[in-house]
Amino acid sequence: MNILVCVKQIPDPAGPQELNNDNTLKREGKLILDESDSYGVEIALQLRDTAGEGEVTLISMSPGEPSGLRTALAMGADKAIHVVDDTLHGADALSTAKVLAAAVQRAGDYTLVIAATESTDGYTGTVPAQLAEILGLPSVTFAKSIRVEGGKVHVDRQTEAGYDVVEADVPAVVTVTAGVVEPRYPSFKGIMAAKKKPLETLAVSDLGLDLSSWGQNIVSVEDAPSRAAGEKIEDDGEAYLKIVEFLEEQKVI
Amino acid sequence: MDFAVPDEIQELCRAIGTFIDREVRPLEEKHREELLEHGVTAHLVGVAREIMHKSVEAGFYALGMPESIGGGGLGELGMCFVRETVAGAGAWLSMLMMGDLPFGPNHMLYELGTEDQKERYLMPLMRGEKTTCIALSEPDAGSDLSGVQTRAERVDGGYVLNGKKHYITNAPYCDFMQVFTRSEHGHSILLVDKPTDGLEIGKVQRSMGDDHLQTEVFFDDCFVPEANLVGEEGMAFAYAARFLSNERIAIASTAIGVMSRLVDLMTEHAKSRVQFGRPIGDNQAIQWMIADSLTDLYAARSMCYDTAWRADAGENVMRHVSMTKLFATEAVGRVADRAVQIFGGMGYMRESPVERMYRIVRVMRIAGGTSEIQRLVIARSTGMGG
Repeated sequence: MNILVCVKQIPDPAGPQELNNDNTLKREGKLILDESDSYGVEIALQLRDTAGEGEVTLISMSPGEPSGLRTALAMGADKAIHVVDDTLHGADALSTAKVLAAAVQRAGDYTLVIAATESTDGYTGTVPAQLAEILGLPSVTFAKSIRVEGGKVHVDRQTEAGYDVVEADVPAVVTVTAGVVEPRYPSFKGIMAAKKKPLETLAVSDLGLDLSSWGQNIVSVEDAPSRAAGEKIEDDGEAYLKIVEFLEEQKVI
Repeated sequence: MDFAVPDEIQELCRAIGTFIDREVRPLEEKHREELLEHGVTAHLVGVAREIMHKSVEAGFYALGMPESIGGGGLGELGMCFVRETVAGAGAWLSMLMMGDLPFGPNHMLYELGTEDQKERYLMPLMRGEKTTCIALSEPDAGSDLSGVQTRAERVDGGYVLNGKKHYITNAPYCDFMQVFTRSEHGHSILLVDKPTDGLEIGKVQRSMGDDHLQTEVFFDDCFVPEANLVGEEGMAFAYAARFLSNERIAIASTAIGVMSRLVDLMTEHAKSRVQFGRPIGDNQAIQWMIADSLTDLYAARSMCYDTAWRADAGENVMRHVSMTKLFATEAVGRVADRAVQIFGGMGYMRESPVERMYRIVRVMRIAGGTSEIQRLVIARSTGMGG
C-alpha cells in the first residue's frame, strides 16, 4: 500500500519566534518536523507494515534544508519530495494546497494521502480539505484510527461526543488527530539510514504551476487582546448557585 | 579541527530530548514526592529500569558499542554530545537509559570475552535484559587498586572467591558482577552471576547523592567457573586502563551536561528574581558568578571535545582524559556552588533542583579516579617519578 504523507517543517516552537518585515514568520536556521505531523507519519508506517508492502512517501513545501523531512525518514518513511522555491515565500493556505496537490500528482499510485489536522505554526487547518478538493478525492477529517479494506478506507472520526465510524472510497485524503498514536522515535540507525533515502527536491517550475496569482499580503500583526478580568464570587454559603447560573448562561451546562 | 555537531548527532540528541520529555519527565513528576523524600529507592530503580527497556526499544541504548553487536557505533565525540544531552535534562530517572558504565555493556567484554561470555553476558547487556556492576573498591583499595584483598583460589574447574567489597554501584540490582580479585598470577577479573552460593549483598550504603545504588558485597567460598575469567589472569589493571578508562571522559561530559543546566537555571533565576526593586542579575556580583560559570563551561567543553576528537582519531589521550576529567569535575563543583549562592535560600531547599545537583556533582571529583589521581597521571606523563 502506497501512502503519501504531507508534512511541514517549522521553526522549533521552543525557540524564539520572529517575523520578517512583511509580517511572515521567519523560517531561518534548522527547521524541525511539526510534531502534529509525527502522528500521521506513525499511522502511515503502521498501515504500510500491516499491509506488508508499499511505500510511505513524504511531501513537503518549505524553505531551507530538509531537516524535518530527515526526521520522518529516520522514523521509517521510504522517500520524500521537497518543494523548495523562493517564489513560494508568503504562500497562503490555498496556494500551499495547490503546490502539494501538484506534488501528489507526480508521486505515482497511492491509496491514501495523510495529513495533520492543522500545523503548529499556521493553524489554518484548511490545507488538507483544499488538497482533497483540488485532487477530487474524498476528505475524511479528525481520524483517530484508520483501516483500509475492500477498496475503502474505514476511519474512526473523533468528535466532541465520541467518534463517528466513516468509510470512503480510496484514494482519499485523511487528516489525523494529534495524540492518537505514540509516534516512534528516530533511532540512531534510522537517522543514519535516512541520509541514504531518496529525497527529490523540486521547484515550482517542475510542477508546471502558474505563479501569477498566489500569495497574500499580511497588512499588520496585532497582539491578541489581553484577557478581561473575571468575575469574583464571594462565598456567602450559596456561591455555588451563582456559579451554576453563570455556567448556564455560558451554555456550558 | 572542526567541532561542529554533525547533523545526525544533532538529530539524535533532539530525539533523545523528546524521549526524556515523553518517557522520563512524566514519571519524575509522578514520583516527585518519593524522590524528594527518599532519593532513588529500590522501587524507583525499577522505574528507571522500565525506562531503560524503552530506551533499548527506541534504539538509544549502548550507542557507544559497535554496530556489529547492535550498538550505535558512536565514537567518543558523539557520546560526549549524547551524555551532555541526557545529563543536561536534569532527570533523576534517566540514569540507566544509555547503558553507560557501570550498568551496561563495555568494550572489555566485547574485545576479550569468549564466545560463551559474549552470549551469556555481553549480548543480554546489549539487549537490556541484564545489567552489571564493576566490583572493585574495598576498604583498603580505593585509589590504590593494588590494595585489593579479595582472593580467588584456584580449584578444580574454577576459582573460589573470598573477600569483601564496598561502595559497589548497582550491586543490589545487577544480574552479574565484574569482580576484581587477587589470583595466583596477579589481579584478575571474574564474572560472577547473581545469585551465586557464597555471594552476599550487604547493606545499602546511602550516599550524598541520595540513591540506594551502592552496597557492600561479600564473597564467602564463592565458586566461580574457569569459563568466567575475563581474558588472562594477572591482567586486571591493564584491562581496566585499556577498556574502562573512558569512564573518565564519560564523567567529564556528564559534568558538562549538568553544568550547562546549572548555568541556564542560575541565569534564568538571576533575571527573574527581584530584590530591592530590580532583578538580582543587574548586580555585578551576580553577573560575575554567571560570567565565570559560562567560562568554566566553555573551557570544559572545549577540552572535552578536543580530547574525544583525539581519541576518535586514535591518539593516546591518557593525559588529555585526566586533564579533562580534572577540570570539568572541579568546574562543575564551582558552578554548582555559585548556583546555590545565586538561588539563596531557595537553593538550599530540597525542592530546588540546584540543591540536588550541588550534592550529586560532588562525587564526580572522586569517582573514576580522584582529582589528585588525575593530577598524578598528568604529572607522571611528563616522565616525573614519585
